[in-house]
Parts: sequence; structure tokens; C-alpha cells
Amino acid sequence: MDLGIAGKVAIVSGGSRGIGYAAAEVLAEEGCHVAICALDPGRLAAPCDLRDQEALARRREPPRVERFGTVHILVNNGSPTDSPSMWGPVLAEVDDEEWLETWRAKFIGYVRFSRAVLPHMRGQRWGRIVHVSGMGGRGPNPRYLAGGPVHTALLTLAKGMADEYGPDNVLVTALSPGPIETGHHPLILGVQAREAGISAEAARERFVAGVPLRRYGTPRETGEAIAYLCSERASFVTGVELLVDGGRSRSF
Amino acid sequence: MFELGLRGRRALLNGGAHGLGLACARALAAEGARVAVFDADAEALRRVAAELGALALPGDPASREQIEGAVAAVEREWGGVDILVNAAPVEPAPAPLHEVEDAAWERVARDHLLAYLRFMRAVTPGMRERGHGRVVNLTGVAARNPDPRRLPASTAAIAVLNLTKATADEFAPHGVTINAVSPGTFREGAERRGGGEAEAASVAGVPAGRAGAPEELADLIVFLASDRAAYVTGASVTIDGGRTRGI
Repeated sequence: MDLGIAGKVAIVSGGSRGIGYAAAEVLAEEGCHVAICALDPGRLAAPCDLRDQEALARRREPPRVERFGTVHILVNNGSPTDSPSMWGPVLAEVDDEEWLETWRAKFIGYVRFSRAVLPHMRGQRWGRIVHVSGMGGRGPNPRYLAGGPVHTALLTLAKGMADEYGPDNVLVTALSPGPIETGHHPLILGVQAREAGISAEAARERFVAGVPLRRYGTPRETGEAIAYLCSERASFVTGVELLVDGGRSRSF
Repeated sequence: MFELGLRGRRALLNGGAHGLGLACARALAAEGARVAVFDADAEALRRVAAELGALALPGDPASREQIEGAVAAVEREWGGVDILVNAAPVEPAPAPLHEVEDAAWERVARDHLLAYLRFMRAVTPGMRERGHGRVVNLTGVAARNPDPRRLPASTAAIAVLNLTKATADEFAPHGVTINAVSPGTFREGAERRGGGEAEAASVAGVPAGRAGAPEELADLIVFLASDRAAYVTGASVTIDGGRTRGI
């Protein structure tokens, strides 16, 4: 299948590893010019912290517009959920500053990137924005009080943006990865193992038993789903959420 | 007689000096609950206190100290809080996403979402200890029907539903219920919607053919706060005259 996006310019945030890296890789294989933005300077020419408000203000113009002239595709993939303290605190233990930082880093970070690329996409009447959300969106969890509301809010953001910018042929979707083999899943398993008083390996087996496909997903297959949403093949798909979770979610 | 069991219950409202929150304060008082109201508008708060004999708690929803101080004041005065009604959504001026400035997103995150969380965090330890509590979080119908011109409020509304469901799980074993109510088109918002033709248009999409009355919303919140709703938790109840299209 030809995705029909050769020559398009794509920005992938959080693109130096995991799901973001995989999405960038697939888009590049399909012939896109890909700019990635990420925190880790060692993995990247232009490090970018979505939490750094001053740096983001300077980047209201997306970083690579000068080089490529425009932007067609934005994959919003910030993931402050990597922080070990994100998983675990119940209501009484929520740290206010950390809660606000999570909201800023992921949710407001996605909003800022969207705002920066919209003039280009609307002007050329072609755009794709994918907000990478997460399992907490449709599966609220008492130990995920910072991340869950962000994930849910991203679904409503995608739907509302799809309404607003659909007439300009800018398609906005959300993609919620389920249990994917990335850096932060062991953190979640660690909390569950401690809670249940079992080993990490046992927690992992128990977790996988709840996934109809009985395995974790790979970043690569998540990146491929993202690339589909960004492609010409998804030209009538907007305002929806695609779950890539091996069937785990109970929401349908 | 449908006895709600609210006589003597201690209710705290975050945002109860105006509009839907005020209707709620009145309805709780009418059922015999003691009412304390936290609101930034000290002037309006004085009127409410005089009308309902309510405990007036002027304060800034952006301040952790003032929120926790208000809860502590009610606990000092009455020995605890049985009912918390978070009724203070933040509504920045309508605009498409590309025109919404960071300040509006920041204000919604801190003064609305984090304020709801702070109030819940402050009252729930006492509720858990006593084995009884009711929390009702007021949000907007835009949670599931996003309004592209009101995305800060729409996205915050759905975030409140997530917080509600997540925290409900933790407190359900302790007799503490946590629910959300999503009101659609209410008479109270007519002015904000611009009145006249804009108002007629917004009501045209409502199967009931009219805007809701604040008292109708208050009745629902009072039910959720009552002893009759002990098995309702983690729910988000839409009250919109049938307008929502999703099922």
C-alpha cells in the first residue's frame, strides 16, 4: 500500500525513542521529510523540552519550517508519563506542581505545537495532526490522577479540532497506545507488583493475561498505525480515536 | 415521601455565589443541609450568606492555601464536611484553538481542574474516616460534545469526568461516592451565549425545546448528594434536555 505521503514534511515530538521514534522511522521510510523534537540532547540535533515555556514560545514557528518551507504532518507524542512518580500517587499524595507540570508538558505542549503548525496546514488545505494519548484516557485509574485526565482531554481536543479545521482539510485524530514495550511500562508494572506483593515477572504475566492478543505491542506497530492516520489513505478519517492496545480496553 | 436524608448534613460548595452553584446551594439548604460557600466574589457571597444563613468563605480558587484554609474552617466550625459540590468551571472567552493564548489554558488547568482536585483531596480524608461522603463535580456537556470554539472548557470538562471516575474507585469501599454532572443548555448561561438569535439557535438543538432551569440541575445534584444515591458512584450524568447525540 502506498501511503501517498512521499515528500510531505512531518514533525514528530518525543521522536528520539519509543513510539515517537518508530513513527518517525515509518514516515521517513514512506518518503517524508521528518523533523523530530525530543528532550534528550544526546539523541538529537535540536533538543526541545515541552515543559520549557520560554523555549516553546521561541518555537511558535515550528523548528524546521525554514528548512522545508511548510509542515504537513504533526505527530504530538510528548510523554511525561515516563516520570517514575507519575504512577502510584492516590488523591492524598498528589503533588500539585508535578500535576500541573504534567498537564503543561503533555496537554498544553500538544496545543502549542498544533497552534504553530495550523497556519501552514490550513493555508495549503492539507494537514494531519495525531495526538498520541494513552490508556488512561478511557480507563481512569485512581493511581494515574495526573496522566489520565490529560489523556481523556486529548480525545476531546482531537474531536473539537477536527470539527474546527475539517473544512480546511486538516484532519485531527487521537491514537491511544495500550501496553507497548517502551521505557515506561516497567514503571507501571513495578507499581502493580509492589501493590500485589508479587514479582515484576508475575505482574507482567498477569497483565498480559488481560490482553486478548496475549502479548505486548511493539513501538513499530504503533508507529505504523500513526503513519496510516497521517497518510492519504486516511483522507476521510478525522475526529476519532484509534486504540492500538491488543484489544485490552473495555471501552467500545 | 422521598426522604433524602440531608437534614443536618454539612455541605461545602466550591463556587456557589452565582448561577448554577447558587441554585445548588439553595436546594441543599431547602433540604435542611448546612451550607458553606467558597467563592472569589466576596460581595455576592455576603448576599448568599444572608439569604441562606450560609457560612461564607471568600477565597481564590488558584490558591492551595486558601482552599485548604476554607475546608479547615468548615471542619472547625461544624466538625466535618459531608458533601462537597465542586461548581466552579472556568470559561475563557470563545475562540478557535489557533487564537487561544496560553494564559487561558493555564487558568483552566489551575483554577478549575487543580482546584477541584484540591477540594477533593482536602475533604476526602474526613469522609473516609466517617464512612460517609458525597462529592459532586459540576462540569459541562461539552465534555462529550466538544465545542470547537470552547476547547479549553470542553477539554477540562472531560478531564473532570476522568478525575471523577478514577477517584471514585479509591473511595467507593469507604461509603464515599464521587460523581459528575454535565449540564447542557441552561437559562443561566443565556447571557454568556449572547442572547437573542444565538440563544434561540442553541435551544433549537435541544429535543426538550427549551433551556433548563437552574433548579432542575440543582435537583439532580441534591439527589446525588443524598442517602438515596448511595450506590451511584463514578457516574457522569448528563442533564441536557436530550441534546447529546452520542449514546
